[in-house]
Amino acid sequence: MPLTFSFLRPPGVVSEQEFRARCISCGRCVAACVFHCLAMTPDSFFGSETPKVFHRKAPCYLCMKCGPACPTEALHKVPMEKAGMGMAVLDRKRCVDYQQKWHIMCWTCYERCPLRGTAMVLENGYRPAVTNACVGCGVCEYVCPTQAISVVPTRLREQT
Amino acid sequence: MKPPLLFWRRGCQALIALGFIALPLFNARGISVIAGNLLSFDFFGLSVVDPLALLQTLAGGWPAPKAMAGAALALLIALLLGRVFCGWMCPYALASEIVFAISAKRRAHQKTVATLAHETDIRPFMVRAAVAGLGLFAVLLFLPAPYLNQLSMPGWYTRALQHAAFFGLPLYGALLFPALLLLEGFTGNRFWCRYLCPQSVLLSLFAALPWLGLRLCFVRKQCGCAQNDRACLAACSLALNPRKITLAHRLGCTNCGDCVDVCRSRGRALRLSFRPFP
Repeated sequence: MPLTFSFLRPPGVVSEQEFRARCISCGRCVAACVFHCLAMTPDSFFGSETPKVFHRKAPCYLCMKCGPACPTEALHKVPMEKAGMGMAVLDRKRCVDYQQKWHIMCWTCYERCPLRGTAMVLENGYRPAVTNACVGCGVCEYVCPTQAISVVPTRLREQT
Repeated sequence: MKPPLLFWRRGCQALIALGFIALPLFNARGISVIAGNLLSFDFFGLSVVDPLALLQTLAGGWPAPKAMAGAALALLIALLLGRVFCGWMCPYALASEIVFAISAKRRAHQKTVATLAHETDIRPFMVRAAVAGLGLFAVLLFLPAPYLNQLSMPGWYTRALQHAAFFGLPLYGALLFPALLLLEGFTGNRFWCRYLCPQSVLLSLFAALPWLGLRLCFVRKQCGCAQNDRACLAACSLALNPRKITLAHRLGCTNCGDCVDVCRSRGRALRLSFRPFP
């Protein structure tokens, strides 16, 4: 089972509180997004629409075009290493690279990670592992064939 | 003969209203030299921001220096050209004026003129200012997000079209737009623009500064109408009295020019001018 069933905020959000106070629903980040991974959906019944990344449908590839487009700095202009969207968690019991019986070297998450080599590394040279440099873009969760990876949004980690 | 101001104004309003139908379709296909909605849009690198939207983020304690120039630009336009956003650009005003024209036809002309009770009254502006002030105060104290944007009708219009173009889904909150129009059709007065629209408050304040920028001028000695000939008053859909340019008038006037058009054949006592009349 995935750890969370939720969305991610776009890259460059410092805190959920600040983001919600600053976002004016202009949608310029959505227009700037090259990969069409941002969706504007209402936060609540009377709430305005704010941009979200539903990473299981379309993950963020960290093109970082949305930050400069935001007029009110709800999304800060940051380098991709500081996107701060969340943190991926790898379930080693599900990952085929950790299951010796299958003799498979999948590496899909490692190959597709925008921060390959820093956020996603190969432990002992052949098993993928998530490091603290992970920014939670959701690509690994999207591509994993066995649903072994879940991204915990920064938004939820703030609340706990 | 020169076409009336209404011709140009309708053209401008229609261009904006249709432009914001086409714009999200282009944006969704990656063409984004102009992008956004009427809360904030990027125009060939020039960022324009709704001043009230920015003020709410400031009231929440979050400074946004990048947006300052965009909001200042909107206010500068209000200072130099008056409330032309409301009169010449706002898609809700276009729809509201059409509804007003239809509902006015239903009523007797006399009755329409008789409703002009507040023609020199500052109350409509005070109500609008109270709505905006309470909203800002709420953001300052407890609201987590700029909820006054939810009362922006041009915002809803453009947001709904944006939503439909990008995600192919309706935005149910935008139903407020036709609901208000329906209500205005029954009441027959443009109550939203006159009494409630919080977005117009800052523009009104900047447009009310006298002797600066494009303003309505009335030259009494050129007025050839009888005292009870209220053609210019009846022409104003916002129930203002163009013959008494007081503070109340300046706060309510959108420089639409409807009264000027009526006055063209009656002595040209009313004009939109950058300089005060002698």
